[in-house]
Amino acid sequence: MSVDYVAVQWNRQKRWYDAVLAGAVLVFLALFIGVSKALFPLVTDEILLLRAFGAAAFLLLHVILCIGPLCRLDRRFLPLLYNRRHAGVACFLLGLVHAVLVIVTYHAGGDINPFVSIFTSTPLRTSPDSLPFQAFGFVALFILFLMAATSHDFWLANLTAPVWKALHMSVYAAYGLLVLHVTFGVLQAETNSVFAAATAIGFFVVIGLHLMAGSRERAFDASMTTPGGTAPRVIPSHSPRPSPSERGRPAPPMSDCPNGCLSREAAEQIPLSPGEKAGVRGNEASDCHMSGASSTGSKRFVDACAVADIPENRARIVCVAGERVAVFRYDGKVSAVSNVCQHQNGPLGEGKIVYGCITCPWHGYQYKPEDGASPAPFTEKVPTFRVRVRNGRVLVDPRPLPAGTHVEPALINDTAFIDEPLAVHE
Amino acid sequence: MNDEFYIGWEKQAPPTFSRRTKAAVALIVLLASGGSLLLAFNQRLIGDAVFEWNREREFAGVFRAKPAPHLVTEADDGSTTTHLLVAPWKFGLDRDAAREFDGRQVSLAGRVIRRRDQSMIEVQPQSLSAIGPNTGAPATAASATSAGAGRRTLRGEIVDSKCWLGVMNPGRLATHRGCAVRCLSGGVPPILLVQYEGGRTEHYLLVGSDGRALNREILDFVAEPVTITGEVARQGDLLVLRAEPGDIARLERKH
Ligand code: HEM
Ligand code: HEM
Ligand code: FES
Repeated sequence: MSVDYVAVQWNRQKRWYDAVLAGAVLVFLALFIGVSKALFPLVTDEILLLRAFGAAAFLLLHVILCIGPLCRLDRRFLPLLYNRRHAGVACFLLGLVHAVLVIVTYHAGGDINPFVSIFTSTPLRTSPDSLPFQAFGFVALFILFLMAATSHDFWLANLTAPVWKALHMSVYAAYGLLVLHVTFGVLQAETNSVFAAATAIGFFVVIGLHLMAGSRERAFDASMTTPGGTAPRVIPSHSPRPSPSERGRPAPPMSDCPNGCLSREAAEQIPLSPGEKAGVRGNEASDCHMSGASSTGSKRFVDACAVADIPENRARIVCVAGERVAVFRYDGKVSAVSNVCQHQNGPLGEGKIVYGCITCPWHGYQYKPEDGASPAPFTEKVPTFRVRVRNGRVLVDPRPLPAGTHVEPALINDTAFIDEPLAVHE
Repeated sequence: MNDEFYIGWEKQAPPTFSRRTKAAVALIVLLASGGSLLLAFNQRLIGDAVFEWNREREFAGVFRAKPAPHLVTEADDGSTTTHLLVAPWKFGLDRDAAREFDGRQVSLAGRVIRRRDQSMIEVQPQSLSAIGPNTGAPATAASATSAGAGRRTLRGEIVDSKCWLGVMNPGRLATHRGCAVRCLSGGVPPILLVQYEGGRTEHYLLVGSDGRALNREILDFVAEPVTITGEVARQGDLLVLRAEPGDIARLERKH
């Protein structure tokens, strides 16, 4: 996080990340080019190169697409997510080299503009070897370009994370187009089944990981609704896609939460009436059982969970009035902030209090728990919520306060007599 | 629960994160090398064709405009070789300009394109010049005497002669269609490539039933399996197939 935007803020892990990325790409290119040249010395060099770069870009895109669901299935993959944008940009650059080589080799030096040639040189018919596979590649490259061009945190902040993120989800469209690009391009020529099998395996791994991550979410939803008599009222969602949450925020993508919040949104859509229980999730997925209604002091407060359910320096994510709220416990206190990180909408409730600050699990942006503001010199802010603790229960006022509003943390041991709304310093 | 927490900007990831990431990195490197080798080893379309793009040579011989511009050279032992002639980039030789050379002894500079015994020259356009008077020798008459000549239906793929004979290797089928369309559209003569079991191939120079150049008329049929019914004849070293676009039929590919 930064106040000024610099090209790249380097740190040790980013350097390692990029070294591994560059190394893997170089290994791929060198082996493909070296082996092909040895096996087929008469091969045309441009074609060898354009094949190498196209295949490298496509393979890297598979890896990129697998990182999101892998992190949701197992948090220990999070280091792969940390600098994924560089993998994305590398993928675009490899695809660009491929496309430039294709245009120079196959389209330039002819009787019409090479870019027109990309779109007109394949007759539009329905037989598999005459689909405009190059046009598919072109559109995919354009999508990758948009993502790479807007990838910097400067754009992220100015487009706002939700818009940027919605744009980012078009990577799935790009992937779909590239599967068509390969299926109706090289697979129509190299009919060798190895190429077809490799493409199919890649496709099923990507889809399979997304389905696994999604179904784990559904299982979690189901566990929230299984009768225990006292389980929170949560409407199960059968849609793998979350629906838009309130305040005009577009739905997070399937890949939204490495640990999963998928399809929680639908449930969260249902506003809870005062006193009603909130849906809950936390660092460990377990139900938050409670007895009866609460909030005698203020009709606004809803019961969120038991203090004891929140591990020290961690949070539970509770769903109040359509808003995901991260309730943190630390130093004998409880604070609540929006669950949505201002950086790239990472799930703050899966974060941890480190050096006194809520720390996002994705890229480590930090916010002070009592006011949701990043420590100086940083300027990011998230909305805060009024909290109180009564009888070992955490009560949350579901009305979000403007980002950065100071809220006095609720003291865990000082619960007995508070019956009025807590003081709020606007 | 393990309370380890990963923060990217810290120096070191916690041990379990670090171990998992190292395993993932190993897998990624394995994938990069394994995938690369798998694809490299399984390419099947790269053939025995060359383009001497970095070596320009001088040629002298008899120029023929039909069925497509070509040069017949004679070796010291009296044997002759036929070289199809094309222009640089994705263009054929300008046929109108070349007509004046028909039947004449010419010299030219160019680069050799060769697939097995089939030869082609990419001619430097300014270099073509007559070095003798018109011999008056009639163009080699088409003979329908060789075996298999006459009216036939052939099954194959229409390729552009320049790329197929060596400029692009591999240079056929869907991946190469865009390029083949450009070359044919630019006047490079089309060839019907017929492949037989066991790898034997035949190249038929494709022209209209009246002997005209077929180029833009057949773009729709390039790089796919087709059958063509037409008159086969041998003209010097060249196998020629005379047919009309209406005689071409697309085939479903057998997989
Ligand atoms: C303007 C955009 C593009 C054009 C015109 C284009 C065109 C082509 C062409 C003509 C081929 C066949 C190459 C051959 O084997 O002779 C090809 C293959 C391929 N392209 Fe593209 N492409 C474009 C963008 C992309 C992008 C963005 C990617 C991936 C990120 C991509 C991935 C591939 C792959 C994986 C192959 C198969 C490689 C192989 O032959 O082994 N292409 N493309
Ligand atoms: C051409 C380039 C790019 C490709 C192919 C790509 C690929 C992806 C994919 C597949 C996702 C969403 C699915 C998932 O979570 O796994 C994603 C999300 C993400 N991308 Fe990229 N990306 C590209 C460029 C960038 C850039 C330039 C940035 C820089 C900010 C970036 C940063 C991220 C981040 C932080 C996420 C996670 C946030 C989220 O899942 O919503 N990517 N990227
Ligand atoms: S999403 Fe990047 S730090 Fe929170």
